[in-house]
Amino acid sequence: MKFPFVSLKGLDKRFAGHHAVRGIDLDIAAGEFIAIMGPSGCGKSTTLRMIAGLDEPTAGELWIGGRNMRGIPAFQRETPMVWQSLALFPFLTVAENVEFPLRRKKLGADASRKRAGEWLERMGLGGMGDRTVSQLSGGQRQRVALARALVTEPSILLLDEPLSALDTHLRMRMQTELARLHRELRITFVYVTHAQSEAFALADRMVIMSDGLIQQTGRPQDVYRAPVNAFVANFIGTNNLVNGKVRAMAGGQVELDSPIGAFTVPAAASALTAGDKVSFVIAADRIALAGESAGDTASGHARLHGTVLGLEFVGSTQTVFIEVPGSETEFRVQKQQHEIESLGLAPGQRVQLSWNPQHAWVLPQAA
Amino acid sequence: MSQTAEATRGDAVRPAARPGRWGLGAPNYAASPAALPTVLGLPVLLWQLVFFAAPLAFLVVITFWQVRNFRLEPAFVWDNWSRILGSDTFHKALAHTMQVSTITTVLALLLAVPAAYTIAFRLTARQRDIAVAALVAPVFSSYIVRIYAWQVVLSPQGIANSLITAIGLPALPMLGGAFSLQIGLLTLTLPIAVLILVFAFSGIDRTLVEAAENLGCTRLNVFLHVLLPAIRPALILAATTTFLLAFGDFVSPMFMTGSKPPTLSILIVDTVKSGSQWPRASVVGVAMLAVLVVVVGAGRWLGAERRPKAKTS
Amino acid sequence: MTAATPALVVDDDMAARQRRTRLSRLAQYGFLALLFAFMATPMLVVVVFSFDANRFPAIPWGGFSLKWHRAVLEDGMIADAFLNSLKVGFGTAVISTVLGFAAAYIDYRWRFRGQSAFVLLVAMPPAVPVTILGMAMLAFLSRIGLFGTVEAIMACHVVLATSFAMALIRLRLGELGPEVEQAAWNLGASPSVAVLLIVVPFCKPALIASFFLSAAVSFDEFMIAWFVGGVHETLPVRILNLLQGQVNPKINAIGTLVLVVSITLVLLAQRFMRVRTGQPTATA
Repeated sequence: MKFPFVSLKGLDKRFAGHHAVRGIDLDIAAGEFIAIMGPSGCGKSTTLRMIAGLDEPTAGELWIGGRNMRGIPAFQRETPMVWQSLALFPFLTVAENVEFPLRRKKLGADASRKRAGEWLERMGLGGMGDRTVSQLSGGQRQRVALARALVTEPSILLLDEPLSALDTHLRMRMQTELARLHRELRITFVYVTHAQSEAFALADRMVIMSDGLIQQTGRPQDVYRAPVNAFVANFIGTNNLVNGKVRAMAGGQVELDSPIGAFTVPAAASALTAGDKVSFVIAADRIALAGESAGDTASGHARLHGTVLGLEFVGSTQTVFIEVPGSETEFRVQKQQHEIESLGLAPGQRVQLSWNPQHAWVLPQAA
Repeated sequence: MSQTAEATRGDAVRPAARPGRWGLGAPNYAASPAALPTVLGLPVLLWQLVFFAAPLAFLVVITFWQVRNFRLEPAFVWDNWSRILGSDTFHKALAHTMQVSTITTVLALLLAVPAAYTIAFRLTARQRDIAVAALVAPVFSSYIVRIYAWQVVLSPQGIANSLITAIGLPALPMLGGAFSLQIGLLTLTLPIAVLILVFAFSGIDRTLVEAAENLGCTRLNVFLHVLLPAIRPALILAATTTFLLAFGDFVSPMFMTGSKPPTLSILIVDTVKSGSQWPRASVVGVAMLAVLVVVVGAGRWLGAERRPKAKTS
Repeated sequence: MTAATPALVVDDDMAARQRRTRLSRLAQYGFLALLFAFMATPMLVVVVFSFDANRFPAIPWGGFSLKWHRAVLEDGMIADAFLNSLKVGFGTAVISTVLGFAAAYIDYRWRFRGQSAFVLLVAMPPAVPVTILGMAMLAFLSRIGLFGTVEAIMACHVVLATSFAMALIRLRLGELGPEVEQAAWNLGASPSVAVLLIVVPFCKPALIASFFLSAAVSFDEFMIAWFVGGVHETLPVRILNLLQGQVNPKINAIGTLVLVVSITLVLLAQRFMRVRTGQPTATA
């Protein structure tokens, strides 16, 4: 990235007995909507807090807008944040909450009130300025928190799992709201979440973290289709991993042997030699199912046999769990409702799995 | 603000908690000037040191000084200690004070437990609020005036005897002995003991009680085997506090009895008033503190959670 | 002819149990009533007999009279003592609330070595017998030349009252999630400004309660004031001195005044700070 707006270099944070962030590097472009994702305890919130200045890094550097943030305390950073718990000031009115950052910048009382009022209008809360926080609904409070964070027209907005505490409907609405805001304001959004759906829907780029390290960054579709390691493959989407050993490399393809058979998979950029331990990934929604006695699958497609273990209703799709002899874990295949019905899938049924080998993806085997 | 300055000041305020675990203390946010804790902390610290810690430390120092010609002079003698610790008066006073305080503690607990139980479990929320207010008020309102009132009530020509003689019984000598002394000490300690136990009882998980009743316990059983063990720390706190207050009290022994034998507090005041024997009075004071430290320490030890011995199976 | 039907047997048992429960309930309420009567008696006696025309309170009553109250109001020494108590009480209340807030906030916000020692230093004074405290403070203050002033009494009372103030305010602070303060920093308030604009207003009920409670503690305190005050008597000290003399009917009247002031202060403090398990502590 040529001129990143936010730059983390070797950013590290240790707490007593817990190494939360282990020296990560990340560049964020101006105006980008970046989602930092990972399981609990992976360090994503700590990273966000270090950007905001609420935790001081143990090592490494943090640059925002071309300034080194070392020694700059939180209240001078202009990195407003939206908390999961909203953290609205309980004894101030809605308007006073939104005016707060403006007053800190020494904007006069009248100018502050006016600007705050404009932002309340913009967020659909016009006329509610005199209410107390406790008189608002959850969604309204959420919008007050956003207004309060954006009222100073900052260059960056930080969000720490802002939608996690909301019920599904509200979450959907707020998600759309956030996307709209980002489009209109065109400022950098750094969004921490553990929910894939939010990250996929909102982010220009995703950062997957685990155990204090960045596992992968990339566009949502790239992370989804091309996970670089087993962790990401297991964390994002629904993927099946097959462990095996490289037999040979030929013409950009890897031939590998595995307990469930031999497969040919497109080679990744990294050089592999025979004997290397690898895994390959085939996504659950890329596997075709057919009855065992069905005719030949498309030529060149990989093929497996297995027994249906069960079906799990997910909504518009179902996940079929299939036992494949020789494999330690079950295969998961995602199928639309109507496909399941037309195939008449039921537990105990023997089926045939197949996929286009070009859709598989090879990874270094997890340690 | 330079990074090195931040780092060294930050060292003194190392966070102990994991991020996100807010519990009893928030982790440190080092990115804030260290001027604030100093501005806040220094006045309190200095005030307590100058007006509390220093006087007490000075007290210990005085125990080694001497009084010559009614003037206190620095010295280093063990004389005061040997005289007081060996003195019969002191022994009697110590024994008496210990005895009296123990009786008060036992009485207070016996009275406070059923009262607290009733308040916590048998009153409505509104009644409970009123009860708590009625208990808090005496704690902070003029103990000395209330002792005077008891004097008036219990004296030979007092109100109680007026009532007793009015119905034809002979007048009872109620003032001047152990009875009136305990009345006075309970006036001081009972409200606090009841309050401590009310809060403890209120904090018990009601589902425990329901479970016990469900398993066939009678009310008495629930009380003895579920409630009392559950508030054990509070019982010990109430006992320790009661003992502490009774042990150090001056007013009740002074005005509710004839001060024979004197309690330790009265001994201190007498020693000071007659001949300004500060060193000797200080010895008594330090000795009292030592006893209290032992008692409070014993209380904490008793109240500590005992780990069950691990069974190897 | 037929054996007793089970229904009858059950009824008997239940009735007996209900009777037992009712009796035990009655006993419990009765006991509680006795206890409160015990605690109320001295206060009632003082107030009621302050209006008794007789010199010495006894039954039967000597008739309603305001003469003792009038005598108290005209007594110069008592007026002086009362004024001293007010001065000391007000000063104690203000300083204790400020220091108590500082101590509570430090304990709430930071983790540091010696934290428990610090908290103990502030919390300990009420646990030390007042006689010892008074004696120690007198000895020390006279050594450094501060003895015998109203300010000295106030300084010592602050030591006691700060403990209560810190406890009340710390309780209230426990309800302030750390994120609210962090949000203030995040939105441009320096930590000092955040304390003034966010933390202090949040603690307002506890601050007010601490003010009244500290005033009550000081107003009621006689032992330290007696040791340290020298010729400057506070009202309780005046009472103490009167008690050591002959029976004085004015004591009832003074006592009534003192009780009214103390109880008012305590009830005011309670109005702002309700301590109930599981409930937020502030009513404001």
